Amino acid sequence: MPEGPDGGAPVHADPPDRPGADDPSAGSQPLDPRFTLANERTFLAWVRTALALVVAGLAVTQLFGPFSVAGGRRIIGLPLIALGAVVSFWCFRRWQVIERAMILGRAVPVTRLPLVVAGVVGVVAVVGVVFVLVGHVQ
Amino acid sequence: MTVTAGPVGSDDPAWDAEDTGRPGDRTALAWVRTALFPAAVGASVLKFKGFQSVTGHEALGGAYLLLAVLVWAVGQLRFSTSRLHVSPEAARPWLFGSIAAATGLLAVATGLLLLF
Repeated sequence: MPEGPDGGAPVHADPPDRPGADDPSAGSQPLDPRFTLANERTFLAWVRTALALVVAGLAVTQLFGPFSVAGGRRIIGLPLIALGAVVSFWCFRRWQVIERAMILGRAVPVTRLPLVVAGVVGVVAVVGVVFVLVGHVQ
Repeated sequence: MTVTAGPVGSDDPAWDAEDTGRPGDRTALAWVRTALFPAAVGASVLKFKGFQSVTGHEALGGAYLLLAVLVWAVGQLRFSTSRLHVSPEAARPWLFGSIAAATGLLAVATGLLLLF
């Protein structure tokens, strides 16, 4: 039984129609609404991140001036948009996984997507710098 | 009603499971904030000159505005009965899934429009 958010007593909220909450064989337990609301806010934050990635890609391809490298704007912008699509599909799955882990009283599994997002954005930034430098050299 | 520090539980008079307090307010605001994102994107795509060169920018901008309405509506549905009551729990996977799918499909559509 997990402790409350303040390290206090285990929490017993009462969401009666939570999926699986009334299935004792699944080892499920009621949740503190604060935990599930926090999970919901994390989901929404990922949705906003996905939208920001798409807009960034759109802005790079449409608003930037052309690079000296052919197709440079697309090379930078399209991976950001693709990453936005991946994040938006993935964040729902992540929300589900965390909900289930909380219902079953298990540890929340680790995800590598933040690393992937940071990696892709970092690589795109480096590529952008290289494109700018190549343009200056030429 | 505010959430107090210290041990909490159903027998704690300081904690009412039906009253989500500040976490509920924060979540309601997060929904509004999330709805503003696609609304701003849609308005920019429709009105900003730099984006009007995108093929089918009217449809794309309109789709983002529809996504904003969807997010706003789901947020209202979640917190419609009262700011203090969270509902409907059972429908959440469908509601959240629809938002995630719509966002993802719009991202794919945006990428394809830029490609072709």
